[in-house]
Amino acid sequence: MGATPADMPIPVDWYLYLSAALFIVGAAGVLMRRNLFIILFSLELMMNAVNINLVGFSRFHENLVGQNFVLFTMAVAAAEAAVGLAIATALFRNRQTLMVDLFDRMKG
Amino acid sequence: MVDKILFVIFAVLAVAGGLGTITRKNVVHALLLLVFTFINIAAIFFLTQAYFLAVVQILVYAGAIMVLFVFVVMLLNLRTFKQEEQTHRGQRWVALVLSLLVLAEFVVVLAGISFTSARGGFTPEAIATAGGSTKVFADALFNQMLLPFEVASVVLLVAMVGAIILVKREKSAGGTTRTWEPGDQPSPEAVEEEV
Amino acid sequence: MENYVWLIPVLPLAAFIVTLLLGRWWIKESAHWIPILAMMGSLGLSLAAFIQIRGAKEPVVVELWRWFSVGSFQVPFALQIDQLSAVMLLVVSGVGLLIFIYSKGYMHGDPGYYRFFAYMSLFAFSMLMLVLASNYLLLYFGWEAVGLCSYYLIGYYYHKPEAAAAGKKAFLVNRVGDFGFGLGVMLIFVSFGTLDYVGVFEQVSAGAAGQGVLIGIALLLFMGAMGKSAQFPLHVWLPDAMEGPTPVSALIHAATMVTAGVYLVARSSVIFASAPAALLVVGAIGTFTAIFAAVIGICQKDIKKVLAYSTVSQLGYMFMALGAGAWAIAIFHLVTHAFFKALLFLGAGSVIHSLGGEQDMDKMGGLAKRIPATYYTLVAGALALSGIFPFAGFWSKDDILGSVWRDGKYLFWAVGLIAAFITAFYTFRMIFMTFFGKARMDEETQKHVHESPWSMIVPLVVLAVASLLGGFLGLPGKLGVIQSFLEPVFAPANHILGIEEHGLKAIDYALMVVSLLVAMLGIAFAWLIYVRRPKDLPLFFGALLRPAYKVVYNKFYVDEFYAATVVRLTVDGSRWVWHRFDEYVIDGAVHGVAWCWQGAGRLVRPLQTGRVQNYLLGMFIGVFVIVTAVVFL
Repeated sequence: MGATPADMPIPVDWYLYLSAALFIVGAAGVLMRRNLFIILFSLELMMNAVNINLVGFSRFHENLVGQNFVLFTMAVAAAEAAVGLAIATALFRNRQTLMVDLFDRMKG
Repeated sequence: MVDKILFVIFAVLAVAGGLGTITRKNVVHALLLLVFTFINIAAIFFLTQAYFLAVVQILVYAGAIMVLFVFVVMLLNLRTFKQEEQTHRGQRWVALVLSLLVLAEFVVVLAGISFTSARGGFTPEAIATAGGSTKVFADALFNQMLLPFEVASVVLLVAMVGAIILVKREKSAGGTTRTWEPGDQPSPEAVEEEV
Repeated sequence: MENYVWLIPVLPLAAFIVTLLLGRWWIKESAHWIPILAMMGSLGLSLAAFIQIRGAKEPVVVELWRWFSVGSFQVPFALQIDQLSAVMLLVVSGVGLLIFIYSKGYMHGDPGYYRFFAYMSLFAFSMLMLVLASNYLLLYFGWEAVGLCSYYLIGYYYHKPEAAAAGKKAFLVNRVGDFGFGLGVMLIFVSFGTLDYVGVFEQVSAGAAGQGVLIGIALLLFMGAMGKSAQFPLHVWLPDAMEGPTPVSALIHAATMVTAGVYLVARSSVIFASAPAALLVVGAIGTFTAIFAAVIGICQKDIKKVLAYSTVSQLGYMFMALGAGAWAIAIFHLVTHAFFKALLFLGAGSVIHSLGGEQDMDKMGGLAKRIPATYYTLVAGALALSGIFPFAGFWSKDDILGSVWRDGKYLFWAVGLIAAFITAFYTFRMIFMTFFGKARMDEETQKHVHESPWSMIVPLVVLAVASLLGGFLGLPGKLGVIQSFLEPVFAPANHILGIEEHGLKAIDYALMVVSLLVAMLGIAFAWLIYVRRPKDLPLFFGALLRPAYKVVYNKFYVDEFYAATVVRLTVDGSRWVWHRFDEYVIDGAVHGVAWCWQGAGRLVRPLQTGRVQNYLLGMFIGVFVIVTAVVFL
């Protein structure tokens, strides 16, 4: 609970706790689920957690750099989602499944 | 005071949505819960006076990205099938434990930090006087951040082209790769399994 | 002289290189020309040097270039001309030239003709370097090089397993001696800080080292001499070396290489003179070897083996002389021995040649009238070797016995005298068995007995003349030309030992007469057994002394003793090391290392499941570890 600007209604570390929680949830999803789509969703969740972090600090430091940065991360997230889905499609065409632990051709 | 309560509500809902996403068996359910999470996050952005971003969040994330996901999910038409044996049981337990550990670590670290603000001068009042958040945001974007902006467009272009190439169908007839049409049932050997 | 002296060894070296490189395709049958010309050049230049160095009080050292220059270890590549090296130069190039000419006839038609001459030229280079060296390291270089050439030339008929084995034996036995030699050289450097003759001898004369060190150096150097000059117990390689072609036996194993040991001790006269105990050892071993080898020579059947043991015996005489401090006389005997022993070997080669390769004396006989040139020259050589007045051997051998007597070593004198008797005996046994009596060879060979070509006869004649007249170079006492010529070289050593020149006294004449009588007795005895009663007397004596005969015929079983001990030890030891150490320890270590890595790989491989999710987990674990480490530690 550090010094918070008087006009920031919500203390900045609340944002951070939230961000941490969402990030962990996302990470758990990436590591524990076998369906490729769920993994992609969890990835988006992690990205959003980061966005929250950035926005919180942007407000805390009273400049707009954080918000601009969020815009870019969103753009990148969109690109990544598009490409990831294309890959998922191609994988599905080849193996008729999207269970990630069945893709182990690089084993050994 | 009100802000704080609202924040807590939205935060809890967001986390709940996230948890739901990662635990659903049905992909569409998970998708919808994720959209719900995004909306809650947008609400939090509103509370932070990042109005432009909040709207962009809804438009882009919930509106575009998730719609894209919906398209593909429907396209690939996955089913919920019976359970298959876990091939790597240990992974999930380790992941779970590890996640909790890291969360605990984050909390511990955060608890011990005191933050000092580097005041940048863009208080809500200052923003309001300068012409509104969108105008100020656009100022910063197109003046200081012009190059990253252009690069971001290139990134999107590249992603688009890449995605198209990745899903391009082989025209050669008689190839061993069986191309898949929408509406195809998964072949009987490929037992899908959903967890 | 400084200008041309380097040419003396370089000419044969050039001949070697040219003959070896071009011999197979270009020169072939004319391979002898270039080496012969080179040797002529060396001989001429040696003569010039000999004349120029006469009477010089100090040696002439010609530095060719800076060889080793590492801190305090300074060894120049330099040649030294003094009276001693001049004499040796003449012997090597003179006898060498004659043998080269002889080889033209003897080796004619041999498939490896050019190889022979190439290696002989290399040998000439090495021996000349040995003799011209001005420091012990260069001497060691020449020493090893002649050993190498000896190996090559003994094993010249490399298709024959005996020849290859003989070459190997020569090299290995020499190695034993060279080990001591090398240690001696090192000890010299440690004690005196230099390896140059001039520097070392100055320091020794000035008393720079203690008795113990000097005796150690002297004995170590003598170890090398024992190997190279085939003294007991390192004599075993010389009889086997007869596997090589006869010219090789003549040049290397009679006239030059085996005398390198004598040269070494003579050169180091100052060191030996300052270590009387070592001098005693030299004399004792020389004397023992003289009689030991002579006795074995009595029973040998192969004509070349007789001469081989004779060489060992005569080398013993030379060391006997050195042991008595008679340096110049030892060198004198070296010179005369070079003449008559080379003559005997070349003559034996002529006999072998005319008999189409027969070397067993049991199968000879009755050749005197059929190959007269060979016969007469060989008899001249035999007379010289037996020490009959006025031939060369008489003077040199008598000088030796006289100096031993004067030194007070009466036991050595007596042994030397007996050995002289035996020498005369076996020498003329050889002559009689070869040339007299009924022809004992088979019909085919008898028909083809012919005199050797000119190229072989001429050197024989030259050497015979030298054997007859050479003795007058070394008349005893003040009359001796060679002694006074060599005097400046040996003066420091003689000074240390307190030897002076002396006139001839009555006792000297008496000794001369005694040794002459003894030699004549030996010849008479041989005459009796092998000419008068060749059918029964040899058998009679053989039966009488059967057990002794068996022992002597088998060379006192020295080779067998070595085989059972040293050789067996080395071979078994190596085998043991091979199995236990090499296979288990070394191979085991290598395989063990490989196995470790394989095992580690086997352990770690499961980590690579091929699944991205697992890899992500790994990353996440890593992040956790790093964050924990940074934050909490």
